[in-house]
Amino acid sequence: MNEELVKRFAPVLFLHPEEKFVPVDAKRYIENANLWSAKGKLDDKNNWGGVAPAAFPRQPLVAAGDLSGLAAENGKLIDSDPLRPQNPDEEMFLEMGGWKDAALMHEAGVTATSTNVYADRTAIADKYAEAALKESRFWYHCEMYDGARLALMASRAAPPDVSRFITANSALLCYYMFFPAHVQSVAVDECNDTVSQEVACHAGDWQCMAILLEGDGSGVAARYKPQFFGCTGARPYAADAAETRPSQFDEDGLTVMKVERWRPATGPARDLPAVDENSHPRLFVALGSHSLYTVSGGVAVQPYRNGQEPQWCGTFDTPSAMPEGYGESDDDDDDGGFGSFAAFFAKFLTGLGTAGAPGAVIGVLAASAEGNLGWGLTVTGSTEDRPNPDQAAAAGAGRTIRPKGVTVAGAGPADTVDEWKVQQNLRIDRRRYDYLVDRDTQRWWPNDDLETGYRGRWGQRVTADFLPRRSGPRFPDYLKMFFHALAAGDVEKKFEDI
Amino acid sequence: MIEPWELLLHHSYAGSPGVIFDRSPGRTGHGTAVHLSDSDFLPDGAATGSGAIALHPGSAVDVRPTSPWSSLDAIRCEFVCSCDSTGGGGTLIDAGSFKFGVTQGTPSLDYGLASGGSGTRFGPVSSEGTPAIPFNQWVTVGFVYDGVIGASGFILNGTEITRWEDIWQTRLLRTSHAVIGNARAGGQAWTGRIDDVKVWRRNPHYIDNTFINRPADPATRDCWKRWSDALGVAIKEDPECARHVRDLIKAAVAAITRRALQGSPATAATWQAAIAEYQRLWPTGDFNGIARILSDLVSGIGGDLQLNDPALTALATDPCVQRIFKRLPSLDCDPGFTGIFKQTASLLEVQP
Repeated sequence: MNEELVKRFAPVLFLHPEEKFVPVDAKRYIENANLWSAKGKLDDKNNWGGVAPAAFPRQPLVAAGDLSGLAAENGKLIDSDPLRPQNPDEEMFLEMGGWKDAALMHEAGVTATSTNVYADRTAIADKYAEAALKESRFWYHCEMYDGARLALMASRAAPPDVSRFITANSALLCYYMFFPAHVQSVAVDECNDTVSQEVACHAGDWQCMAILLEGDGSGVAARYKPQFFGCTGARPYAADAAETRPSQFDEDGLTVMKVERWRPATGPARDLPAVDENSHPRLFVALGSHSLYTVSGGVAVQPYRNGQEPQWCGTFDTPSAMPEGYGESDDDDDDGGFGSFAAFFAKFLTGLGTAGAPGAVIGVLAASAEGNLGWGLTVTGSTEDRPNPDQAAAAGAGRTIRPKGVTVAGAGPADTVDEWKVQQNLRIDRRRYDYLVDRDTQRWWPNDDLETGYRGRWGQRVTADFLPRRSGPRFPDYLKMFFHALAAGDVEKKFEDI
Repeated sequence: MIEPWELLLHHSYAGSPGVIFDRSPGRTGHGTAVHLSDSDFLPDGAATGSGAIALHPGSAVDVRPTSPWSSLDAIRCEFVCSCDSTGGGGTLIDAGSFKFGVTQGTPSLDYGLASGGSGTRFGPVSSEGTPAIPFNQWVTVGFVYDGVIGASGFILNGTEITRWEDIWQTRLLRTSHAVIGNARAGGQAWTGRIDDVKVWRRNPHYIDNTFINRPADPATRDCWKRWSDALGVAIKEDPECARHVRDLIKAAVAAITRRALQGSPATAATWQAAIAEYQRLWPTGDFNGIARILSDLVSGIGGDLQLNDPALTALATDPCVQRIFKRLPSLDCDPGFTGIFKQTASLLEVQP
């Protein structure tokens, strides 16, 4: 790992004045979190910490304080065999701060009567006001992929063939930022209720800034030249294909990686990202969602994958009145899923209930009219909830986080400026903390071997969350996201700086 | 936006040679070049800079979608391509459940159909009288299969050149492997160039999406959430019954649609005007207007639609229907919706 190179491009963050969460050390998060197992239907509390007829209250697999991220430290290693999922339908999740119910009342555990419908973000914030975790704030983790590792990863990856974008002297720097919680709502003006406000809020929130560099073979940090720049967050709204900029969703469709040329001379990303002291990208962090932007202001977003937009003020997470998960079938023996079933069934049954057999016929007729099946299919409008725009405040309006000693243009008063506290080999209570990623020794990262390392969720599972959208996310495959966004820009000719 | 078609795959073969990127929203169908060298990736296709691939014997683009292509009850494909006169065509796509190409200048199509969980292969369709695809020039050629009234057709440069109906009325087999520019077994390489490939299926959420595209106050939203949750439980706990009812309803809906569209020109016109009006009124919440449309349809072309078909009536008395019906809460909490049926019944003077 070229630490000098890492420090050269460390980002400057501008937070919104109302922001409650800042990037923290992920290792100290896991050390202070409960680890739960879930099996089967994963958004059903009956399947957490054991399955029926296990008694309530359910207990985590490992209690907070007894989990470790390094093999040499006390506690249970987070990816040790007993803590790894034993079956494909099993997963692990970290939980800090407990849950809350639909009335937003705190629920500390998983009991016979608890609802566990949302993560309690206030309780998480309270934890970070306590001394132990407070000191873990202002932390990022950085990983460097050199040309050889990039080539190896590309050779293992499924199509498209991204090896075309890599040389022996390439290097990819990924700065991972972990926020303890995430806030994302829909249609706040129209709906103004808890369901719409909580629709995509969850515990644990990963974001990433990535820079693809090209060296000269010497390994000297100063000789690497940035080629492409990526940062994550909600997918920006684009009115049409011409306006779309290159991006790639993570596997769970929660965030995208947006990629542009490094500071192009022309085009929509002209001279972006702006930098302090020639190399430190200036990133504006959206309130609550922590989307990273290279400019401040309000940003219209399309944060949900096509076909997964919330509907009716978040009443339905999927674009359907169907119960979640019944959209279509992957079962070879089934001749299709239950897509369209709810609409047809509602009409048929309501007709039946209203006017008996003749009414049922009317219901089928109504379904047929609505279906408009046949040759001429039409487009009829829009049903999804309007996502609330991201709000990224201007430099100095809220807290600024800067690399140590770096002069930041437009930073606010001194008491609003913090420095990254990252360091190597920080020792606290016989535990070690590093900011440079080593996936072989730091077991909370998914390992390159595609098997070991922690692959669970970084926040609590919640109930009634099939997609999932309100449960903590898994650590995204940022390498894949970066190169797929790069490939998207390449094929769509978005990097030609017209 | 409610899109009736869902784009499953979009290759444009532009950008860096060898990088075959799926531009569809889901991006599940990136490709692998098979025996295509960098020189086979051409910077220009139908337009300058649009990119294209030049196929030759043994070459192809292999696609293993990360999510299988399922729910293929309607499908549409479109290719921007150029066919060399020396070869006369070849296979443009072979996805197992459908295969489309050009044989000596004439489009041909082969379907694999799902029926009761098993696949049935039908022979290739190459409709007589279909205009030939011009050689050595860029064209947009494709096909549509609607899967409901059994309509299929070839499209050339945006114009329907052949259409046939009533061959099959079922969806296609799901597939997880497609080959572009050759047959899956090889030996039928496209003789020419391909600039752009698009594959769509009917959006499986289209109808439910349309269904909830209407005004709804909090009480109405809660009403449907409870109903939807209960339906989910009913499906989970009695899946066989749920599938049976689903199939009965789908068959009934398809039967009515076929009779409407394949009836006399007057019947088809009445039907199409009615559904256009229905779909105009639905998002506005004008349920009185919808009740009028339904009653007019029954009194106007109800005979043509064979609404007295015993199969439709039998639906109402099916044991599975009754079992699921009893498990679901009433929708009286959405009086506007239930009012559609009450008012239609009243207009038709139907007695429950």
